[in-house]
Amino acid sequence: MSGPTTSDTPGTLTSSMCSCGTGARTEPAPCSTTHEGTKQSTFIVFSKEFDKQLMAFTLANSAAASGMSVTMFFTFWGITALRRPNPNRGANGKSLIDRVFGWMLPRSSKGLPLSNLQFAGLGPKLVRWRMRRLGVSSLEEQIEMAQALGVHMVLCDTSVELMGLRRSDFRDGLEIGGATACIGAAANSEVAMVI
Amino acid sequence: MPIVQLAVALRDMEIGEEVEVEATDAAFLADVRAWSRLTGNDLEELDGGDVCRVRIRKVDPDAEQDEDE
Repeated sequence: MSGPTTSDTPGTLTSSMCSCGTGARTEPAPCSTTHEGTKQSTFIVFSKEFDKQLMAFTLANSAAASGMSVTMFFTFWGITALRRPNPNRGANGKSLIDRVFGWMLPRSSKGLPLSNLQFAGLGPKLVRWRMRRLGVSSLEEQIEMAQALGVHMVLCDTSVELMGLRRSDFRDGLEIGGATACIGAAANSEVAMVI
Repeated sequence: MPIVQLAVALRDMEIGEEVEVEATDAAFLADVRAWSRLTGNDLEELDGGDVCRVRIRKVDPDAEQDEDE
């Protein structure tokens, strides 16, 4: 494990700079397609807190960038991060209690609280400001990044109904699944965690 | 996220092509080592100072990978 990993071959690299020498093999881009031997990872995102969501997306993006096939399963409070920032107004066939739920829950990733140092809404603003100053990708950028990297984002169907929300309240490009789909993904994964 | 930028850059590269990366993120060296192990792409560490510099050579993902023992 911790021993010598890769042995460098000094001197030979400079001569092979920018040469490929692999003939004219044209193959489909290896990134987005799932190979037989592709490693998988599954993240179950239960929490709505900004910090936990940020960690979930950072890990998912790192895994996707490392060539893994990544599934993020959003359930319970976790789904609120994927709400569309400005959904079409109106009742949308919702009951009063559905709409009350909608008002009480974070409207989008921008409305998420912190798990610590919330300071009545000042905490998240402070953290976002510090992230900008340090050049850390924002949560919104990370969500876009995950979609661009082909991360499968699965919404728990039951949670959506439970919170009185509709599919149309969420951003595009999401999949719908249940607990078994989640277990199915986790069973094939080398990394699986609940956040 | 430098690793994500690196992965995206590799998409447009030919097998055997190389890219040099400079990152100011203190965790980048540890991250890129792990990334190289996971993806099988060759890593050459050039400078581990405040600005970390590495050179990556893209390998064929379908070719058999040498496993660690």
